[in-house]
Amino acid sequence: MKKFLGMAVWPAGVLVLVVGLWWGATVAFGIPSYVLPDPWRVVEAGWDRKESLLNAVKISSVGAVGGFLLSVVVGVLVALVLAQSPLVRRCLVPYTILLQTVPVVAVAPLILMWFGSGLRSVMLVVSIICLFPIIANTTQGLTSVDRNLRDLFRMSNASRAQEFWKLRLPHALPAFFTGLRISSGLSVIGAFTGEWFASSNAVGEGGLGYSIIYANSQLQTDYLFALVMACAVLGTTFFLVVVTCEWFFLHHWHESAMKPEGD
Amino acid sequence: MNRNIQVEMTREGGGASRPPFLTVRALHKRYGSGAPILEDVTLEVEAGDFISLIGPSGCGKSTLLKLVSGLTPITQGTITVDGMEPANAREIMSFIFQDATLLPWRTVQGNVELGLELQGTITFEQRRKKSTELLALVGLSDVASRYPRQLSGGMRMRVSIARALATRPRLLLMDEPFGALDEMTRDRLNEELLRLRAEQGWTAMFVTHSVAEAVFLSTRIVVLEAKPGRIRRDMAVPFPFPRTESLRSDPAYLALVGEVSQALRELKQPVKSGGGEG
Repeated sequence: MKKFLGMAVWPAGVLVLVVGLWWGATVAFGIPSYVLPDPWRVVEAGWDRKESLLNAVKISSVGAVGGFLLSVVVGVLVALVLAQSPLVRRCLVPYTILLQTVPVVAVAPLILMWFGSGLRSVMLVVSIICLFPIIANTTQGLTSVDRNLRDLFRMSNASRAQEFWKLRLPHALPAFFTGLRISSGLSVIGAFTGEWFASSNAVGEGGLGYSIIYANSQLQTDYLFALVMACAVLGTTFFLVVVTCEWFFLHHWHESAMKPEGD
Repeated sequence: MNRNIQVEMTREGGGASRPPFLTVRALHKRYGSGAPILEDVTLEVEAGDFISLIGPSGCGKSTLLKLVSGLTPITQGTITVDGMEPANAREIMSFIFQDATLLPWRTVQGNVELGLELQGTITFEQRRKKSTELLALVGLSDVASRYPRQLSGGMRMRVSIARALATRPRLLLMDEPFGALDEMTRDRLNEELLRLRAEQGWTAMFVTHSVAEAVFLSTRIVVLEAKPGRIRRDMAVPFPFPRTESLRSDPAYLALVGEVSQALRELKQPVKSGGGEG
């Protein structure tokens, strides 16, 4: 607990400093609140409209988590196929890279056209953004098993299934979680982008992305700020949930999930 | 099956015609169309022998070990282990690698049980019992539930040895198992390895760079030269067992260490690589 407090003190100090500077700037330069509202106005705007804010957070969470889980399932399946042989990888890896290089903003209008607006399309956009890190990391984990370990299994006449379950799969876990960590942050960006294009615009059904466009169009800059912060909090929460899962599965044996000892 | 009966019979008759436990005949190895790694290697190892392979880098000693294990295919020649082809003799062989090669997600006990688990012939309780015995044998009972990352290099190697012995091998193949350890740990593990051998009676094929280690452990030392790998000397080590720490200061031991070192120096130097390696 002491250690945790020690770790939290410095970032908290930075937060106080930044908010202070922000507040100071709005006062000192007399910036109008529709350009840069002071921190208190942002808190106030968020509190005044907490119901619609929380509703937007809820909708975006469902989109982000749903799309994220979809990308985990699809990503792991693709990685399992890719891990089968170097030939398979040579044939298919260029196409997985396409996922990474084609901007999702370019694909989103197509998704909207094919699947209509609503949660389903948002989840699809999220999963497209989240897919590549999961595929790339899991495949790498499945295929990078130490040669001696594989020889050890061969010396024991291990079957292919045994080699998979007892060697490749546990070996791939740390890399898999690295992919999840990257994708958890991306999932909120994905939900936001998806909602920008494909959110349902029925009353009370727009997520954070939709609400931000709306607040912007109404020059409600203080509420817009509150929404942006809600996005940040949501993304960080997802990230922490994934990191906690990672710690749960790996802390016994893997360095990446171990607490720093000593320093 | 027939062959086994035959072996048994000749053994009882005490005849000299009993086929050796491990035979390597006219063995050649090259990778693809590259230069030969091993050329015309012939070797016979009797059951119970502890044979060390020593030589400069590139002499193919590790390759020879891999060929005997059946992990690497033979280019030409034959190897038999207890009358079987290497790939069919895996159940009576264990391999110990240079690094401990443990599964980091398993506890020490889980690692020791790996071989038994993969064989799948005994129950979980039997496995537990066996691994507990082995951990006691190598002095690791206290750390059975630890993970490999929590152990020192020497302890990890003990786990590796315990895992290899768990399946009751008759031939133990070791590829510089103590190469990465400090000298004190290495010496202690050498003594322990001999104690385990005395208790369990396996045959050993041991690759090392250390002459002192080879002389201390072996009943025979085979010196190989490099490029291509060929056997140059086959030296008997006459010291009786059990060997203890005091052997290390015995003049006869030191003399033999000197002799093997001399044999290594007399090898022809590799032509193109400018020598000096190893």
